[in-house]
Amino acid sequence: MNHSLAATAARFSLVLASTASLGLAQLPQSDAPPQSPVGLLKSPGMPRIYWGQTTRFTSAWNPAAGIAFDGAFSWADDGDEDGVALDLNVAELTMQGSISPSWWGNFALETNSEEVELTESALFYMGLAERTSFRTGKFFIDFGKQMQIHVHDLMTPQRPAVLREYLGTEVPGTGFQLDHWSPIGDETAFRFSLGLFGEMEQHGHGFLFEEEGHGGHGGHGGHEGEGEIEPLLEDRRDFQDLIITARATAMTDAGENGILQVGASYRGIPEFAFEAEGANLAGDDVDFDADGLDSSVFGLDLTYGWNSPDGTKGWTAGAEFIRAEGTLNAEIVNDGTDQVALELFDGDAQGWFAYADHAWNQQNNVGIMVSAFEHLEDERPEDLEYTAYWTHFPTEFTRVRVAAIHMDREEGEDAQALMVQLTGYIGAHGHPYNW
Amino acid sequence: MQRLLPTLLAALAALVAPGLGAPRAAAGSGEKLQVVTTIPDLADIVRRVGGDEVEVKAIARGFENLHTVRLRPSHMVMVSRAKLFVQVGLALEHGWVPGLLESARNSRIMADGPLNVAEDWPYLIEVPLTLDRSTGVDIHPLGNPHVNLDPRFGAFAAQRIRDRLKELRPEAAAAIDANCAAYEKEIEQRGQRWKRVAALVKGRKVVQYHKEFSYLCLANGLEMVGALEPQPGVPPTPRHLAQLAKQMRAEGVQVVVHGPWTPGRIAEDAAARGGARAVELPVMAQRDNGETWLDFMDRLHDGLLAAWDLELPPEEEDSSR
Ligand SMILES: [Zn+2]
Repeated sequence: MNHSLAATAARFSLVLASTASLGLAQLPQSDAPPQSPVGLLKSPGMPRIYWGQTTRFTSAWNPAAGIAFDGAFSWADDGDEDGVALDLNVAELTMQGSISPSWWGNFALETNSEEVELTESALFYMGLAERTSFRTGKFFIDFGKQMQIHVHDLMTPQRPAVLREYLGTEVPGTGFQLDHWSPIGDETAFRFSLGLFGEMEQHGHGFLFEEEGHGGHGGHGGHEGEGEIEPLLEDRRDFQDLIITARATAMTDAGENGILQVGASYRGIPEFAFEAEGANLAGDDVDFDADGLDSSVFGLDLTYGWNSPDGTKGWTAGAEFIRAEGTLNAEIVNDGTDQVALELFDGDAQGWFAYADHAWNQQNNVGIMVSAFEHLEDERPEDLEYTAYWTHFPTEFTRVRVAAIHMDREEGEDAQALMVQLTGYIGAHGHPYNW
Repeated sequence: MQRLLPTLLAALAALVAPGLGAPRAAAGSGEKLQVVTTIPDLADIVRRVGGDEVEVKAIARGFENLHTVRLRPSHMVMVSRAKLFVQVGLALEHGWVPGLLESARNSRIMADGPLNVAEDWPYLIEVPLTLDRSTGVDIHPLGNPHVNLDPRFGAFAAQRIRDRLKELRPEAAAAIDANCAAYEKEIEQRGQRWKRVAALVKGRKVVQYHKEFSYLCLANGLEMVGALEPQPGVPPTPRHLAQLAKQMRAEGVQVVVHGPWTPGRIAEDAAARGGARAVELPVMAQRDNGETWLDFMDRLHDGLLAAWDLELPPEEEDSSR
């Protein structure tokens, strides 16, 4: 994981050069009304990127295209990993556009310094029923207030530690999802979604600390660590064995200038396996196979947002409680004899995060976030991560963030990091984040 | 625990079924047409033209930055129940209206689209020759969209609204025509006073914070020397402010006008450095006290008089003009 500064800079400029032509060609002058059907009403805690043009700018192109760059200069001290790094966290190409009055689609391709991946490619249908949408393809799961959002769009510098541990840094699934909302009285909107997925990934890029390898439970394609065992999903399985996500949330006017939102989320994997190869002391290969496993993650969230009457100042505070159940982790255990075994962590674990953010004008906010979680191991050692950040928007299309992060580990050495993050947007930036 | 799927599917079916099976009943003839507008000015004009046919709600309260109005769940509910959505257009509200409409997913409004009152506004000014982010962000990409401060806006908007309402309520066409004609007449009468204000302030020099008073300035013959924002939507920079202060002193600018949403301290500092005074003016009608667009325009013109400590001469003298 040694990042050569020069190599990264070279890669960065290569990506810039190769994509600059797209940015130049996209002259936004047009008489057409804003068209990109992406970016819904901003509920509290949603990205501050939404000033308008970033998501909305009329585009002479159809579909509306955009490129987002997110890079960071950081210093971290985490046991063996120590020193500074210059990372291109992500260069992202997005496109979105209407297909017909009731259909639209979006697409996002992400590259970091090591790989290119398709993170979103979905079609949306709005004609099913009033206040209802249906999507199919690959998209981020609807879990809590955060998991729909790409890391580079988050209000906070990192995904909260508990979500990274129990769900993954970014979790796109391939399947379909139904969304419906309805009014309750005059001031409350209630929404639910139900998703079914054949595949689900668990992206691990974009965090500062080496996470301790655990199996995760998000399917294949996750981050790789030593001795880590990936959960395995069969390509074909029974209908009732599809991965399911569900979310119900309500938001309401709270006073003249506030919004209160509560929600409950669920993600269940009814059928998966852990398969691994190990070697005993004699050097013989031993195959391990544990199938018919299941796991569930539950979440409860509460968010409050307040804005000054003129909309320029604001406070946002939120908390989420997460509980995981089932077979959550697997490890190859070698007790120093010929006996090698696959040990499953079967049980439950829980964690939470809470944050508060203050915007004192349209260009600046500061915030703190705390996240705690139990490791998916028998002793359930607890980690506590503290984050403080300042975010500055020089323009609607650029964001500079300075952050300090401290990880307090019950087991193992504490870790800390300082980070300067720079994010820029060319063209229209859009993801189908729902409230 | 793990076989939640059947239960969830059943619950889902129960929840969606009412939405699928019973689309909201079409508006009966006795029912009022539900209209939502972005700004109180438009709500007032819809009320004047639509009369008994309409029930109107506005989203903005009156002191926001029109480019970044904060939305709330009640706005989604409002839009989901509306039959017509009215906005100024010209990209004035494009930072928040598209997201609101998509969130509300009112199929009728999605299909018809909002009524963009100023779509074919013939007096468009400050249209950027090029849009290039390397020279800064311009949140007035189609030209200056703050047309509700133009004395000509009332009649113009009333006619656009009249035409749409007649399409939606053909049976009430005669009444709508009559309402619109009466309203235009009233604007004409009230506008006499604005003309007298213009005659007094004409030729004076102003600086604005955000270019939201340009139409007002033109209508009153005010000379616009510059804006604290180097470009619409770009916050003032020290360098730009220093340059502007020099220019203000050289040209003898006495007044810096700014809206209720702009940081008053910045406007005051800039005014002081340029040897002028900062004056806050409204940028739209106030919703919660039921201010009409005509009352708002009166208040705006009173604000201009106060900015230079002027008073209108008694009406009798004026009638000789
Ligand atoms: Zn403006």
